[in-house]
Order: sequence, then C-alpha cells, then structure tokens
Amino acid sequence: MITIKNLDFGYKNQPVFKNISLNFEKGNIYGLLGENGVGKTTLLKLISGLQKPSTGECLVDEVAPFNRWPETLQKIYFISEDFAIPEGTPINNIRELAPFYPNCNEAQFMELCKEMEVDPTRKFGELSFGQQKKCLIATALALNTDYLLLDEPTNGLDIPSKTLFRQVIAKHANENRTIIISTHQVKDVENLIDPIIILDHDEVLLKATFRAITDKLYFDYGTEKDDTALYSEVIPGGYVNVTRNPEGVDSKVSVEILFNTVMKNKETIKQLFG
Amino acid sequence: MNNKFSFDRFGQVLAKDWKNYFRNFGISLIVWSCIPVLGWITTLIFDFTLTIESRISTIAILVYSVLIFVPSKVYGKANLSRDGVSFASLPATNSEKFFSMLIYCSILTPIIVGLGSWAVDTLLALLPFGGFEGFVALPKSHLGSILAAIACSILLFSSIFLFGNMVFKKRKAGKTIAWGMLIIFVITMVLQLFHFWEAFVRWECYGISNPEILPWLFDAFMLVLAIVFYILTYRRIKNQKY
Repeated sequence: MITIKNLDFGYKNQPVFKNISLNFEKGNIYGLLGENGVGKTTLLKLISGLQKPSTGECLVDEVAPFNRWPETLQKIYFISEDFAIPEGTPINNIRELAPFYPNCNEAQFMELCKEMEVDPTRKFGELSFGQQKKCLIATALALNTDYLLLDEPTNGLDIPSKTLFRQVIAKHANENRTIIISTHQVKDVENLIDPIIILDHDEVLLKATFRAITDKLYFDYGTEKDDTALYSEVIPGGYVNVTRNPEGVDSKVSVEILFNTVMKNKETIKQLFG
Repeated sequence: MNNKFSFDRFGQVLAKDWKNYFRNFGISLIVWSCIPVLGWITTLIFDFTLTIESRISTIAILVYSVLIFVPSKVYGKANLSRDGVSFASLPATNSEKFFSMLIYCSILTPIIVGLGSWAVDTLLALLPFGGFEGFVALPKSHLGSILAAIACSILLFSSIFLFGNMVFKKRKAGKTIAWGMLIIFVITMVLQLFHFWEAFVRWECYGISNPEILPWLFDAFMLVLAIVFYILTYRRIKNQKY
C-alpha cells in the first residue's frame, strides 16, 4: 500500500503540494488526473523515490521510497513521460534488469511484445517513439512489480496502440498489483481506471471510485440544458448535465465531463466527497 | 527489509555496469592503450630515440588523462533528471552502486590503461627498428613507496573527477578542472595570507628528525583527501533528486 500523509513538496520557491494525504490500495488501477503543472509527475516521482518530500510522509509498504532500499525499488517501476531510451535492444534490456527483479518473466515479456506488435530484437534507437513506449510498457508489465507508475502512457501512441494498451493493462492487472496512470488524455483510459484522483494546484480535489461518484453525482444525457446543474456541456444531440444525486440514481460517468465538473466546482466537490 | 550490502547483488551491479562500461568506453580503452604507437611512429619518421623517462611520462599522462573522462563516459547520466532515473531506480543499495563506480573508474581503468600502454610500449621496444630502446620498468629500490605514491595519486585524481561527475550536469570534466583550479588558487591565496608556506618550510627544515617520513605523510594526505571525495560522491548518489 502507498500512504501519503500530510505531505508538503515544492521546487525551490514554488510549492507543488501543501499538506496532502492519499492512500493507494492494492489491486486498483488509479487514474491520476489534473491540468498541466499541478504535480502529477511529481507525485509519481515522490512515490518512486526520485524526489523527497519537504515534510510529511510518503511510504510504500511502510518504507520511505527515497531511502532507495533495494527491496522497495524492486516493487516499483516508473515509466516517465519523457523516458530515456535504454541502450541496445529491448530483450537485452530486460535481461539486464532481470537479476534485480525477482518476479521478472522473460517469456511473458516476449508474449507482451507479440501482443503489442513490437520486435524486441531490434535496437531501441531503430524503433519509433510509439514502439519504444510499447517496449517499455511490456518491460514494466513483465517485471511484475507490485507498483506500476505510468506517466502519460498513451502520449505518442496511435489509435490502435491505445486500444492495445488498454487491453494489455486490463489483462495484466491483478489483486496484488497497483497501477497508477497519470494522464490528461482522459478518454484514452476511460474504461480502465477506477478510482479517480483529481489534483489541483497543491491539493487533491477528488479521490473516489466510480461507484462513489455515481452515488453522489448524476450524469444526465438529455436534450436540454439544466441551469441548476453543477456543470453542463454540449454534446452531439443535446447536453450532458451533472447534478447532485440525493436519490442515488445510477448513471454513466464520463471522465472528461467529471473532470470539468470538478474543476468548475472545486469547493462543492470537496464538501461532497470530503 | 534492509539496506545491507549484498555481495550477490553487488556482483549483479558489477555485471550490469561492465556491459555499460564496455559499450561506452571499450574502444576508447583500446585506443588509449595504443597511443604509444604514435610516439614510436614519430621516432621512425624523424629518426630519433625516445628516452625511457619520456616513455614513462607518456604512460603516466595516459593513465591520468583517462581518469578525467571515464566517469562522464560511463556514469555521465547518473545525475541527470531524465536519464538518471534508470540508475536511481535500479534495485541495489547506494553503496553497491557507488563501489561498482569506484571499481570501474578508479581501479580497473588505470590498471587497464597503465598495463595496456606498458605492454604496447614493451612490444614496440622488442622490435629491431624504431626509437624505443630498452624496457620501461619500475625501479627496484623504493618500489613500495613508489607504488604507494602512484596508487594514492591515482585514487585522489579519480575521486575528484567522480565527484565532479555527480555534481555537474554538463561539461563535467571541464567544469571539474575549472573549479578545481579555482579552489586551489583560493586555498593558495588564503595560505599565503597566513604565511603558511614560510611556516611549512621552517617546519620541514628544522622540525622533522626523520625526513623520510615526508613522502609517506604526503601519500597519507592524498589518501585522506581521496576518501573525502569518495564520501562526498557517495552522499551525492544517496541524496540525488531527479
């Protein structure tokens, strides 16, 4: 489990988080959403031990990841948005990493590469950006770490590759693995993520499962605009109105609409889900 | 869960770093070791003999100059925010990563280049033509003190550039040299201000009953300084943020 408690963090004089607290439980695929520059990547860096909290705690299975203890590091794999291209071929890369990750499975890696339609025997430098990313995702899944942190994983992937990405992640998610996907392209991960975390400048605006969201918010896809709604948006053929849901009527959540609702009603949402 | 040094894992770090070392510096090592061939060709072209002393100097210059470049060539990405992630995230302790770095940059490289260029020099001296006469060898007298002085100076020189590699993000070797010169200049000025050199000369002339101890003191000073730079390098690895 990842525990973040009363965490403050900033770069020089620029605060990023002020007293945030969050838990990431095992077996979930978390969607970490937020506008550019709110600290999504920074949060992933804090969890992977690349950054150190100014104050407060960030613990991965009760250990501070910034200690960079081997037994903590072998549980975490982080793919940064602007990842460095490894040298050599993807297959050699995973062979070099294998001794350090006890659950690494080379056969699974080969299978994943086949599923993602990439050739692991070609040098990284000869692959396109999308193919490099797919190889890294295959590596990340085949290392079988408990925590998989993906920063904007669908950036640079074409439409079929995005579909493949969703399929592969859904297939390899299990009850022992926590996956955190940071993205601003919410449609790419719409049917994959649950719960959702929405970050704002230096705070967490929302952390909720889809069940909790539909319990408290009603997404009405109709033909007319509701002026009393928390948020309304034009969609082809009408409007979607997001209202409070005191009667707990079930509705289908659109992550993009939810995100916009949260951004327009920060205080209301915090009260509703707080 | 702990952070103890594991020899098994250290072996794995060494094996991983060896691939990186060989990939990034293998050819340079061979080229560096073969530089005496250039001197030999020069003696052929201009028809002169190169003294053993100048050949020893060449080998020494090769060894010290390779120490400047090897950290940035092999571990140059270790402190970079994007490229250093794989170094920081590798599941090994900071000490295992550090000692692997030390072995490749401070021990293996000078040994390979020193022995390699010496072997090339010896092979060239065996040829019946060319200007390499006689064989380069360490003097038998004071061998221990000479080897100790060489080892201490290599460790000090290497430790400075290892530290510079972890501090500077770009133009690592150049900035290390520039900062090193600046610091030496400032220290010299400060010592001058307090009349340290006059005091040192007086102490050297009259204060020591056994002057043979001086080279050993100097070696010990270099070793202590090298250890300080190694500790600073380790701390940079440990506290580096990405």
